[in-house]
Amino acid sequence: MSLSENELVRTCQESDGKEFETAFHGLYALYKDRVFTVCLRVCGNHEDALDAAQETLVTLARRIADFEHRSRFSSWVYRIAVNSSIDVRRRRLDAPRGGVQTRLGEDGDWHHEGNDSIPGQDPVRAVQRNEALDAVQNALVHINPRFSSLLVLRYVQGLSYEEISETLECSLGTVKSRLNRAHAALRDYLETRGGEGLNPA
Amino acid sequence: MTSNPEITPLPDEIVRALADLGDLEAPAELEDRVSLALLGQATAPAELAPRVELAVFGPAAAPASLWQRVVPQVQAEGASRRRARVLSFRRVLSAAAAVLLVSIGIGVYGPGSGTVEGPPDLVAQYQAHRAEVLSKVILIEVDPAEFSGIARDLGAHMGGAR
Repeated sequence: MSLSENELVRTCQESDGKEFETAFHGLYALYKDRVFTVCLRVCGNHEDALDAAQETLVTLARRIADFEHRSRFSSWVYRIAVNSSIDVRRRRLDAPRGGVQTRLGEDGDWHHEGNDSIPGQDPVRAVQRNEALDAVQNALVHINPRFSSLLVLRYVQGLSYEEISETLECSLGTVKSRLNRAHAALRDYLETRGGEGLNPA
Repeated sequence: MTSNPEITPLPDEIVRALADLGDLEAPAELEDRVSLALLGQATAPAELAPRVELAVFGPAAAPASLWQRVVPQVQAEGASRRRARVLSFRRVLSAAAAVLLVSIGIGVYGPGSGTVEGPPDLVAQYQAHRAEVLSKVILIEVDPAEFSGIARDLGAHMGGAR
């Protein structure tokens, strides 16, 4: 019998040993992709994303007893993922590593290496799409990590303002104000550095 | 987004590009890393190292040059061992000779050596030589003071001075 997310969380909080392990594995399966996506988009490369995702999920396992059910569990997980990613990104700021999905090119920009082409898509459009992804990923790893985290939560993960407010533990007004600044920072970067395939204006 | 007048919206193209950055799959490696981190690091037993070495490197064939390197070393070690044996044999010999000489010394010069007859030929030679000398001596002038009282009486009895 499969348990709901809430049951899995409760089981992790109230048990140990094999029971904890099974329940945690359930939570891991639910969150691993979302956590990795946030980490990759904020960190900008595969290796750092793995570090941050690992840190997030280990923290999740070790501190799950501290979760007080006053917010969505997902908000709590995203908060840990954002904080871990920002920490890793700060640690790597001076020496960013190349990654599989995204790598730092000789021109100092990040290049998307994943195969994001859609089967049957026009190759020219596929190239333009990859250029757009490159440009946006580049912008995310160059602007303030607080802004990129906000943009990732809002647009990559599709969280509502309320969920973001819960995740970042700040008011709705603060979320909106920060999001406005994040938009401006992203547009500025794309205008300055050029966003192929995009129209930042 | 557009329904909220407080926020300046992003162009649709950028929003689409941002949305396309999602839906990634976490690599399988992540689970291993998380599991390992949660398990903590155990101390590997000492027997692990030789087993890993054997598994990784296997029983390799020794290169031919190894023989060239081993032989001179073994020969050198053998020679020094033989030298050590010779030296010790010499020491034993020396000790035995010393014991023998001491024994002879004690035998010749030790207590009671006066009563011991010398080598038979020397004694015989001495007695023969003495008899020859005495046979040639007619008169020996001796200072009477050199004799004891009895010897002087005996000499006087034989016609000598007292």
